[in-house]
Amino acid sequence: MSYENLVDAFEVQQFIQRTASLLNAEKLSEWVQQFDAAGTYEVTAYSTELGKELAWWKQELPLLQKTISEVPRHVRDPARRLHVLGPPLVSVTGDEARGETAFSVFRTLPTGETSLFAVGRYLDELVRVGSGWRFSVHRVQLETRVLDAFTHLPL
Amino acid sequence: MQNPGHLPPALPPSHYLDNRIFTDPSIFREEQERLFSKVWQFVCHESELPNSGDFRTTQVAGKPLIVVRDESGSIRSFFNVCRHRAAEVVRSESGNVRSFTCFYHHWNYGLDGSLRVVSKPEGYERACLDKAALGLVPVRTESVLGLVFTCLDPDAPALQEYLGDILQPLQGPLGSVPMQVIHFHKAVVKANWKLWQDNNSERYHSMLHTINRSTQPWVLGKSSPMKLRLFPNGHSGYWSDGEAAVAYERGGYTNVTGGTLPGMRDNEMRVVNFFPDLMVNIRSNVVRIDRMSPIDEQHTMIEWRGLGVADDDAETRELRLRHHNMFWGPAGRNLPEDLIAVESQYRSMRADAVRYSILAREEDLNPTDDANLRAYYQEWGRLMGRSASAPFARDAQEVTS
Ligand code: FES
Ligand SMILES: [Fe+2]
Repeated sequence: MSYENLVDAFEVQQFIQRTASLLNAEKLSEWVQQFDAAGTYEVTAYSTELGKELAWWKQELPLLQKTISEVPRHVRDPARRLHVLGPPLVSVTGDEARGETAFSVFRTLPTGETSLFAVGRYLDELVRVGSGWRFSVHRVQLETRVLDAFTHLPL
Repeated sequence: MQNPGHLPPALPPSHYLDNRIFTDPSIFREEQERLFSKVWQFVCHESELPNSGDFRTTQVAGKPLIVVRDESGSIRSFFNVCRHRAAEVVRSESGNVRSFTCFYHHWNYGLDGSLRVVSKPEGYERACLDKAALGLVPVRTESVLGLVFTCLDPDAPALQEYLGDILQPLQGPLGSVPMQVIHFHKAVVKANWKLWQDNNSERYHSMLHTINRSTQPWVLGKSSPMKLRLFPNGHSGYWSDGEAAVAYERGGYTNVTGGTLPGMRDNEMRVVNFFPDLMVNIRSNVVRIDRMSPIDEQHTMIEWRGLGVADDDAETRELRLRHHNMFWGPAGRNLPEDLIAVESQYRSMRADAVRYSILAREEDLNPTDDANLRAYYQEWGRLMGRSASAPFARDAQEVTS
């Protein structure tokens, strides 16, 4: 791996970690800026009932921005969510990159009790935009299929 | 001194509920016997079993069930319990088999439930084991409009007789072209099952949803072309005979409702609540079906199915899914708010600080009338032999039916 390649891979890793960190802080308007103008956010889960993978949330950037901007208007689960990521496995080819990152999300109630909310993988496709990176696809593939509490927040 | 929160409201008994019908474990056990073991229960959609040998497993009244399409194309159900030593014959939620072989000692059953093979049969010769009498135990199974129902009561009326005219608004969207389950998710909700049924029945709670406040013009008005509809056996619905469109554009949403289903008007909404626990909601191009499996009085497994047209092109399918997820997916606009509401109610009800809930709105069947809830609890009371407003009254005459 060349030095440039290493630097790119490191930047992509940091980018993925920072995306989760923005969710931890509920900085949602900054979180949507992680997407390329043609980017898509997707949450999927395999249904053992139907024998296929299903999208539970799939929106391209313009609609995603609208949905995210409306989050504060909803009645919400008061719990906080903390994302804990494994090291992203990254490959970079020119101006495109892919990442696979195991993650877990912990849910902490206002009273302080914590439970494991969901586990899964981020299966990401990124493009270089200027001097940085953006998601063309930020896909959340959930292992967990019975969620303890629904949320309008992205995962 | 008595807790003033335990005093019933000064209303007719039909207009309030004793919250203990949601929290008392003995009432829950009675519901398993007197409701869920007696009435027709939706188990799946026919499209989940397209080929012979396709099966689904589920629970009805806490009993494990296999639903399977047999060689002749009929859909049958059996208890998912091996007649030998009671192991589960099927251990996955769906699949396709030529026959069912129990994993434990390899007894083998046909798709019609008959016991075909016992392993090492010579060991049963002296006891004269009669294989013909040891098939999987069958459960009554009937379908209508692609919806598969089972009933544990051999004496219950036929499915169509039980459902009656409540099927009429579903005839067009569910019965015109082959439909398919295109979305599925589930959750265990920390609330009594009836609170979920109530939530879907009462339109007053449109207040809860920011998107309904902005896109359903009839929510805040005094009268509406959308009307509640009451049917025998506790079934009810909510739809309009004339123009009543969801105003998506007022919420800033465009291009979500293409591919309107047969018999539906563009941007039309219909809601059908089958007694006691099945709900069908339609938003012009997509159908949502809620199926509940109560676990105990405080926990309810809810399955949500989204239905579209089986031979949709990719673009229309995408539109339906987007619309479905927008409202009714796990991160949809409405569903999380509904769950938060019923779990909040339930935490309070378990504390029994305030004992009664009020169903006293009378608005000539305009959407925010509580008439459908009152009719529902009247039927609940009839089947349970208890009044929903005074479930522990000694005097049977207090039963309001
Ligand atoms: S329990 Fe099924 S074969 Fe023995
Ligand atoms: Fe709702």
